[in-house]
Amino acid sequence: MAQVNIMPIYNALTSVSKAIVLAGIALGTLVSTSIHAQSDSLPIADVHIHYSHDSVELTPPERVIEIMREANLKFALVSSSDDNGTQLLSELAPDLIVPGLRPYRRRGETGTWFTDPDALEYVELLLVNNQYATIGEFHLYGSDAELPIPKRIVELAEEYNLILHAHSDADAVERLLAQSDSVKVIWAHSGFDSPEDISAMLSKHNRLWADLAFRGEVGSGGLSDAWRKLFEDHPTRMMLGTDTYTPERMYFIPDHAAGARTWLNTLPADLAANVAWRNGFNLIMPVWEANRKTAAATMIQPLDACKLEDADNAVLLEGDRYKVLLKTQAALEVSKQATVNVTLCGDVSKVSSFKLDASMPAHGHGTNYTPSVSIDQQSQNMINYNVDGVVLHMPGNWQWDIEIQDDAGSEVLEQAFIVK
Amino acid sequence: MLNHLLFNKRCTTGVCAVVVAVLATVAPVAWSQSQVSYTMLEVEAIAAQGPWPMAMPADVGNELSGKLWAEKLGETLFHDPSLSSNQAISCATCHQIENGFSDQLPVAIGLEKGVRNTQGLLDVGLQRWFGWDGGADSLWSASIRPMLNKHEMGLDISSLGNALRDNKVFMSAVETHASDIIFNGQPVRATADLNDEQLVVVAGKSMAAFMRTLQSEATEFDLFRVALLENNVEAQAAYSNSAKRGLKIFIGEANCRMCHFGASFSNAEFHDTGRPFFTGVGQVDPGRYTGIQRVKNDPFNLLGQYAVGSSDVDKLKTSEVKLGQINWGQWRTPSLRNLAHTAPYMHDGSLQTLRDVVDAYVNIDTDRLHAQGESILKPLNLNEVQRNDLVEFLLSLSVK
Ligand code: HEC
Ligand code: HEC
Repeated sequence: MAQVNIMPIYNALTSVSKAIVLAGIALGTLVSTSIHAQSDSLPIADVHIHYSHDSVELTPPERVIEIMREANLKFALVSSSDDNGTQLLSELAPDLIVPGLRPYRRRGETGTWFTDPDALEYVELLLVNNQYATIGEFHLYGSDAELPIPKRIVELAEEYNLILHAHSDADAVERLLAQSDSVKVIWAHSGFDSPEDISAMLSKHNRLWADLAFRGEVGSGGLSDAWRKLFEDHPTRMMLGTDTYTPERMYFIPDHAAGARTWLNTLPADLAANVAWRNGFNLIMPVWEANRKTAAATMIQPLDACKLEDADNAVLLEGDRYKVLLKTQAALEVSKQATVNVTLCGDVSKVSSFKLDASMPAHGHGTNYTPSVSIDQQSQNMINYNVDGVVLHMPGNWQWDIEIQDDAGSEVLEQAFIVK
Repeated sequence: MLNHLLFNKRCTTGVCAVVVAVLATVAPVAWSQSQVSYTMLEVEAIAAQGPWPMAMPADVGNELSGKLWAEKLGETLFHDPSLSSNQAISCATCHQIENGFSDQLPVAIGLEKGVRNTQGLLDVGLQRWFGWDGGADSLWSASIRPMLNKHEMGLDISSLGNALRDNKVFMSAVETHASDIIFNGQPVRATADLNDEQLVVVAGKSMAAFMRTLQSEATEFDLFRVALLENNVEAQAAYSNSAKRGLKIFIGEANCRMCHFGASFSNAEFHDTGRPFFTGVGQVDPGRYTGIQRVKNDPFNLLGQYAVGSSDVDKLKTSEVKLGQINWGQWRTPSLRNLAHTAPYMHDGSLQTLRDVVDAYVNIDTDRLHAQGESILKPLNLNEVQRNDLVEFLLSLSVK
C-alpha cells in the first residue's frame, strides 16, 4: 500500500477566503488588457514548480511563498514528489498555488512510475482526497504512453477534469492526446524541440499547450526570430516555468522571472502578457476553479472529522470499517428531547443506510420514539447526520446501538453511557 | 591538440594496443601486479593531459605582470595584515604556503566565516576566470576582491588607499617604478597624484604579478606521461600500477577528462557536478550565476579603465559571456594538480578526502542533474580497488 500524506482538506473558513481571492483573480482578467509589457513587474505564471521531499526539508514553505511573491508570480502550478510539499504551499497561499498531482513519491521515480502499480494507487488515493488542476509533471516517452498505467492516467484526467503535464517526446504527446477526445496536455519543456517543431505540434493539436521550463536558450542574447515567430503564430499556447528540479532551484524563481521579462519586453505588450501569464491563466485557472469549487461544496469538514475534541458531550466509537463521533449540545437528561449530531467516517461512498438507537440492556428495551435521521453534510470520506427526537426516558445505564449498512454487509457498534 | 604526439605510431588502429610492460620480472599474476596497457586512443588522451610545466601567460590587463619589482612587492603585500580592517588578516592567513596556498578549512574564515573553500594558488596564473564562480576575469582583479570583501579583509577603497599610502615599502616601490605603471594610457609621473582606487589597482596588480610565479613542478604523472610517449619502458615502471589503472579509469569509463582536461586538468569552464549549494537555511550560493553578474559589474574588470594593454580578444570573454539558467549552481572545474595539499574539497569544502570525492562521483545523484542537462556524469560502477586506483592517480598529480 502506498504511503500517502493526505493533508487536511480545507475547512469552511478557508474556503470563504478562497472565494474572495477567486473573485480578485477574476477581476484581474477583466483589467488585463491594460497591462503593458515594459513594466518591470510583469506578472509571471510559473507553471513548472516542484517542491519535493528534499526541498521541503531544506526550505520552509513560508520562505517558498516569500520567494514566489518576490518574483511577482501571478500563480504557480506546483507538483511535487511527494505531494506533501504541494499541499503545504497550497495551504499557506491558496491564492498563489495551483496544485498539480505528480505520480512520484520521491525524486527518482521518473523512469519507473509508468510500470509501477503503487504509483497509480498513490495517484488514485490522492485524487479522492485532494483537488488538483493537473496530473504531472510526469516523464513518458514514445510507446510507453500506451502502457496500462499511463492509459489509466488519461482516464483519470478525464474523470477528474485534469490537464496532463507531460515531460515527453512528440510521439508520446500524440499518443496521450489520441487516447481521449477531451483531455488537454501541457508539453513540459516544449519537448526540448526546436521552435519550428513546437509550432508544427501546436498547429496539429488544438488541445496542446507548451511550457518553456529549462529552455535557457530562449531569449538568451536576445530573442531569436524563430522563437518570436513561434509566439506570434501561437499567441495563446506558450507558457513559462522555472523547473525547480533541485532544492536549490527554488531560489532561482525570481531570477528566472526577471530573465524572462527581459526578452518578453521585446514582444508586443499583449503577446508578452500572454506568454508571461495569461495563457497559463486562461488554460489552468478555469479548471482549477471548477475543481476546487466542487471541493468547497462537498468537503467542508476536515478529513479527521471523527476526532474527539470535547469528551464531555461527545463520544467516539471505532469499528472495523467506520468511526462514528456522537455529539450533543449539552449533557443528555432524562426525558428531554435532544438532537444527536453523528459524524460517520470511512469510505462512506458505499453506505446504504445508517441507524442510531439507544437501549437499556438491563431492561431489554429501547426508546419509545423512532428518531429521525437526516444528512447534514457529506464528502468522500465522511457523512454528517442529525438525529432528531432522541428521548431517553429513564435514568440509568444506556447503550447507543448503531448499525451501518454497506455493500459488504453491516457493521454494528455499541457504546455504553449513563443518563443521570 | 593531438597533432604533436611523440609516441611511436606503428599501430594505426585503435584496436591495436600499446602495451606498457611493468617489470619484466613480474612473477605472480595477481590483479595488482598485472600489466596495465593502454590503447592508442588512450595514449592520445594521456598525451593531451600535458606537457608540464606549461609556459605561464601574462596576467591580462596587467602591465606589471612579469616585472620583478612588482613580483617582490606583491609577495610582501601578500603577507601584510595591515591591508585588513582588523590589521590581523593577510592573504597568507588563508592562502598558506605549506598547505598548497589553502587553509585546510571547509570554508574560509577571515573577519567572518565565509561560504566558500579557500582555493589553492599554485598555477593560478593558468586560469581564465578566477574564483569558484569565475567572478573575476583577471588575476589582478581577483586580488583586489578579498581586500574589499567583508568576510575576508573588510576594507573599503578609501581606507585601503590610506593603508597603502601609510605603507613605506609599497610607496617607495611605486615611486621608484612609477614609469612602469599606466593610468589613462600614461605612465605615472607623480605618485602623490594617485587616488585611492589607483593605489588599490597597483597593489592588486603587484600581488597578481607575485602569484603568477607560483608554479608547481612536474609530478609522477608527468614523468610517466613522458616515459609513455617516449616508449621508455624502464621509466614507466616508476609509476605505480595502481596509478596506471586509475589513469585508465580517469580518461576512460569515468569520463573525468571531459572537464578535467589538458595539462592543468581543468577545461577552465563551469559545470554542475550535482553538489548541493545551500549555505544555510533559506540561502543558496548559486555559483556561476552570480559570478557572471559579479564580473559584469566589477569596476576592475577587463572592460574597465584599469585594464592596460588587454586586446579586444582578451576582452571578449567578459563582454560576451551570457547569463543563463544553465549557470545556476555551476562551479569552475578546478585543476586537479596539488590536491594532496588542499583538502577539503569542492567549492564549499564539503568533501574531506579524495576518496570522498571519488565516492561522490560514483554515487552521483542524477536527479540533481536535469534530464536534459549535461549527460556526462553518470553513476559509476567502480569497485573498492578501482576507487582506490583513481585516488592513487589523483595523488600522483601532486608533487610529493
Ligand atoms: C578569509 C580567507 C581569504 C583571504 C584573507 C584571502 N583569500 Fe583569496 N580566496 C579565498 C577564497 C574563499 C577564495 C574562493 C573565492 C570565490 O570563489 O569567490 C579565494 C580565491 C582567491 C583567488 C582565485 C583563485 C582561483 O583559482 O581562481 C585568488 C587569486 C586569491 N584568492 C588571492 C587572494 C589575495 C591576493 C588575497 C589577499 C589580498 C587573498 N586571496 C585573501 C580566501 C581568502
Ligand atoms: C562535468 C564536468 C566534470 C566531470 C566530468 C568531472 N568533474 Fe571533477 N569537478 C568538476 C567541477 C565543476 C568541480 C567543482 C565542483 C564544486 O566545487 O562543487 C569538480 C571538482 C573535482 C574535485 C575537487 C577538486 C578541489 O579542488 O576541490 C576532484 C578531486 C574531482 N573533481 C575529480 C574528478 C574525477 C575523479 C572525475 C571523474 C570521476 C571528475 N572529477 C569528473 C567538474 C567535473
